[in-house]
Amino acid sequence: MRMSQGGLIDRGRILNFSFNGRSLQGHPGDSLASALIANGIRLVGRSFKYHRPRGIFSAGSEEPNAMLRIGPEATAEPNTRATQTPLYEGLQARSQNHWPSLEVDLLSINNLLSPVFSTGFYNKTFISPRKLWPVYEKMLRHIAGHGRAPGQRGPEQFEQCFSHCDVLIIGAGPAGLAAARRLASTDLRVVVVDECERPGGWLLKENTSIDGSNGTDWCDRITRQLSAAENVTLLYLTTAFGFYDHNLVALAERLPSGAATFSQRLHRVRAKQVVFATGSIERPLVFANNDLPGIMLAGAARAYLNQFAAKVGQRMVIYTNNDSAYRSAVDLSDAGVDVAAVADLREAPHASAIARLSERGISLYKGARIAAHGRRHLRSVRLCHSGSEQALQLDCDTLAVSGGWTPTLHLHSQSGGAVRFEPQLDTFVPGTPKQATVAAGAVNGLHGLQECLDDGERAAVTIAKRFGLVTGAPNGRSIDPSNESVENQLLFDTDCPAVKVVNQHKARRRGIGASGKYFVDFQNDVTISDVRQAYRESYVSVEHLKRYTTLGMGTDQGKTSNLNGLDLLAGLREEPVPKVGITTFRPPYTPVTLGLLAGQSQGAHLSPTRKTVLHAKHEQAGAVFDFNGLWLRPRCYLRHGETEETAIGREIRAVREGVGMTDVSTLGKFEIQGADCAEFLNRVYIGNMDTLVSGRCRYGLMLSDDGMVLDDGTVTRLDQQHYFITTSTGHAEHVLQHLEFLLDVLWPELDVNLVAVTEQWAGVAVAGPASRKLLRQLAGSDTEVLESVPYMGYASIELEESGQCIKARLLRISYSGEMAYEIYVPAHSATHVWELILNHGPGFDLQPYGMDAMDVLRIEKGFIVVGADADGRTTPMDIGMGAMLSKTKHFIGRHALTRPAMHESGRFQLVGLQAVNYQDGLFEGAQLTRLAGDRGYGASIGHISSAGFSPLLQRHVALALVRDGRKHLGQTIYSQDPARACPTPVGVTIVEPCAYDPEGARLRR
Amino acid sequence: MTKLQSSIQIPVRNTLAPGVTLRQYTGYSLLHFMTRGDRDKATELLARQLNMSIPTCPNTAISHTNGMRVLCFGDKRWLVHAPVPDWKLEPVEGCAVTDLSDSRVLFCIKGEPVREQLARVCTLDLASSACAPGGCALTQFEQIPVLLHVNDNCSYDLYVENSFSEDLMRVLTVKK
Amino acid sequence: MQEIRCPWCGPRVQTEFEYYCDDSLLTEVWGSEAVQQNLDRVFLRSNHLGYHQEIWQHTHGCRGWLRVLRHNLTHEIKESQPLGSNPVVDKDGRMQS
Repeated sequence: MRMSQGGLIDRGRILNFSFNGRSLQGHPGDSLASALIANGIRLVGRSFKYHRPRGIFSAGSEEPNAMLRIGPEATAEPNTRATQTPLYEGLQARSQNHWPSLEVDLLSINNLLSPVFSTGFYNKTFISPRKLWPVYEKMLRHIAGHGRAPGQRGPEQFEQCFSHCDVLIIGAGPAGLAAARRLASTDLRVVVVDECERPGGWLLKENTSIDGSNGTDWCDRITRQLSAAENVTLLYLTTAFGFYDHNLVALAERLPSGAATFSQRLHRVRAKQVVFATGSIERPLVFANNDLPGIMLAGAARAYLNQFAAKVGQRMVIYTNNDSAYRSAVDLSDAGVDVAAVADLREAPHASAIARLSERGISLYKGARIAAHGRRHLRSVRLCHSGSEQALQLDCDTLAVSGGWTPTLHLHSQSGGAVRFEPQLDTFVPGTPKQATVAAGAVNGLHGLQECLDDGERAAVTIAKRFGLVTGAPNGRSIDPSNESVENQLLFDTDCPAVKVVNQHKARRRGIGASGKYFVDFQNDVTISDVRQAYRESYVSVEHLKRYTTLGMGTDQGKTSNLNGLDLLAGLREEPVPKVGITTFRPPYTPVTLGLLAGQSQGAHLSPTRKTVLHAKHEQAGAVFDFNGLWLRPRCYLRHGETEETAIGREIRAVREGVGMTDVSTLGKFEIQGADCAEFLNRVYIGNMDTLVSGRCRYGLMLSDDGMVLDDGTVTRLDQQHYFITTSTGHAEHVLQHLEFLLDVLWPELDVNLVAVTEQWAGVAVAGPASRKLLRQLAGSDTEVLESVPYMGYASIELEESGQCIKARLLRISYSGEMAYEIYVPAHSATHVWELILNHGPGFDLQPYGMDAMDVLRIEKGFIVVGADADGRTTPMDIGMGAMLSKTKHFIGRHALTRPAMHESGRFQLVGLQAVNYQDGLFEGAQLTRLAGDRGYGASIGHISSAGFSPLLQRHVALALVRDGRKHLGQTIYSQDPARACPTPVGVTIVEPCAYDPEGARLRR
Repeated sequence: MTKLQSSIQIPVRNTLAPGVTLRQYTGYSLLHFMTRGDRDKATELLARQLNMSIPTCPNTAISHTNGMRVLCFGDKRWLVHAPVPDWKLEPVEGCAVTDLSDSRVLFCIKGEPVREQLARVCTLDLASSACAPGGCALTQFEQIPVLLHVNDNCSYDLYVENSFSEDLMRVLTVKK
Repeated sequence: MQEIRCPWCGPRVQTEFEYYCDDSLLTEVWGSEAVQQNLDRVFLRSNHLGYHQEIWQHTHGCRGWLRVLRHNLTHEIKESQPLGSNPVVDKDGRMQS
């Protein structure tokens, strides 16, 4: 029911929304929960396990029951708290977790089967017979879980940004606003965030007065001042959900984005100081059937009235162990709700609290214990109290409960801050902070408005001091000390301490009909008997309790249940609560969508894509692309009507019989200059590099300091003190770091200047018997130079075309085993060179070839790829390069190679493989075994590290790492890959790695 | 024989936030200058050759009105930006010069909301004194390495390696 | 995300850096024939709970090298220095100059 006046809603405008297909109306300023309450909707969902009917329990992010699907059916977001959803025009809401309907839910049979579904049943049931597991699994998938993921991607946009500020104030309640106001007068960059749609915190939910005006007016005034301040940023509907290392706070901001969908923005804020003004959450009481619709937190009952002008019911009883709930009696009674009684667990409530009741003719029962009754919703409450032997029954439709207030410690705790148990408040408060933070307000266990305002000011002064600043009172006005009034006090002095929650359920229950379930955790349907059962089964630590019963593991993170569960456990263990301890708080504070965390990094954009300068040329030539690390490279070039297999075969033939060209720009490239270059190269590579003369290049293998192959590449001596180094594409970054470490950290005395030039030089390899003839057409006046370049030689030449020339570095090296030249040109000229070569191509049947062809060509020659054939466990000896190891100088990895295990038998060695039946396929990753047959396979003796199909040899070629492979040349073993391509074992013969032109005659022509 | 002029052109996507423009600059030279020896000696020799002062503190740059710019981006490492192509540095004793003119693509992003635009991907505090005009920083935008030069409060030059340039374009422009 | 202060670039987000190795790897003497000592240096190091002298590189920044004194549980960073200074630290993170 909506009150005719009051509340912070805009009555001038109407918003239409629907709940379970029913059209309803609300106002701007409403939350979905308040609009439902104003429309008299009491049943909003079914609980997780038992499918019990549930109603709205709270007015904040601690809500455990009102989890709805919001949005159009195909893209609806499940498990959204109605209390945290601002109402908008056209909002569609649906309840969850019931079948066939919310009102008639057949799955509530679970309630009757609750002995089966008691705690820990996950671990005890559905185990045997094992054959039935697929049946169980199907069934469980239907009944387990809460909510249903949408089938389609919604229109929501996710953005991210990085922010920096001096002070981040989390929470715009009285303490947060007081702190912000104080800090606004300094030059500090201040950001204030609040998870609600408007600032004010509990000022919006209570009747208070500050500086002569009511709390909400004060709040509006302060907020206007803060908005006008240049150094202050205010963010609403923004939840600080995680506190990370070094004062990094993650914020999830929800933004209205035109049509009825919210977009979200993730802020990663690095704040020099953080103020936790995060407030506190009301704690429920535990009693029989305490989950019926109509039972809610006392603070929420008055919040709906004060903030939203929505009456939560017609006839109310209040059950409490502290003074704050009396405010509900006052506020609701003044609004016309029939408040039948206040049942107080205590024997002696505060006098001023009692006075306010008698003013309104509300009965008070002291020393009370209650049980709730009703089926689909609350109908009555039966209570016993210390004033009489008789139990009595009160008919009501609403029960407002309060068990005290629990400071919202989550972010403080995530930051590593200690927590301290405050016995007078029967709860934990923030202790010593670990990072640059300070806590202020209700989170420190303060319950008076004046105290909170003062605490906020105090925090601001502390923070300012940390910056070496002094804050003056803003605008010369300070907060009026006459704010001390009964109105502004949630709890009074501690002469009458709140009674411990755990006691109240154990008391004698004289005729109040106290059978039924006593819920501790509403969201996960955990009851007192579950906690007791866990204790009986020896799950006595708080961490075990949590995981065995799932108490506190729901999406509400136990905001209304952790402390009660802890209390219970402490009682069972007969130890004080602080001894039992609390479980770890982990981000996020409230659920966060994965889309928000992913931002734009989704799909193809999970990592950056690197393209060579020739990418457009490859596209023009019909390339099929694939990723090699971050690089996008052509696998092959498809001509019209071709399959990939035919294309690759064609390209391989072109290289072996004519001429092919390929883009080698992705190779890592470095230039080193200086007097000590030769010495440096000697230390890094296993071979003697100091004997390399100008104009020559050499294959180089480098090891890491454990003796394993790190990378292979080439070293070219351009000049006396100038070298050009190439590495493999995949290891370029790693090798760069390795070399930088050596030069900058270990050997700063060496005169070697290292510069990465991977992107400066693009490279095209022209390979095949006709390669030199083709290049002659381009060399112009440098033809003689071209002719004189020996195998493994280098020359600087100029390529010419119609009056224009391009300077190039020409290296005569081959990865394909044919006569080949690698032409390196400055990157911005690469496309011209590609065109140039292509233009002269037709006469030689020139064809571009891609990675797949390149791979087969090098496998035919037995050339390794570091990462595949040398996998970090491989020494140079293992891959047949032991002869390259220098005997005259020290190099990285030399000591490690002296270890006995490096020379023992049983090492995996590089060999070639040939299928016994030529048609059989060989596949990378296949395991190799000695045996195959009914007796089994025995242990794996290695695997195929590289494989491909050779059109020239008309069979598959492969390289493999086989135990003692070189001792077993000619023997037959078996290859199999049951999970993928090769389910039955294939016989293979161990052969030399090089299957084609082993003397290398074709290279040196 | 004329030297072939060429450059990479990245098509600019027109989906930036309103008020922000992104342009690519071509026709400049970029030379890498470093030493393993004495820093002061190297800077003196370079200053003499360029006839302008050289920044010695990393993450600072000095620009001349004629378009020359020297960026110090690491200990004893500089990038010399000349506003014309094919510009050369004379060899300097004890130092190494490497031409990197072809290795980068240069963008200039500017406009009043440019900081907000960059904050989506830039982890630096652009309002801090480290990012005051004249400052430069090597950093990364969504895993793409970028050398950022602060022209003034509303204008930033971004040097990015060729292979990442298209992706940087995508990362900088708003997807709507 | 931790924040590490690069001696050249100032405080930067941890993703710009890469952890490279433990400080103990810096005690190498090039060319020394103390084989076992060198192998121990490569393979053996203490992994205690507490402060470690770590070698990081500012790979996505200035590519400089730094030695960071960092607690491997709380992530508290006490110091970060350019490689070249030589503080000696005991297992509790107490610096001896």
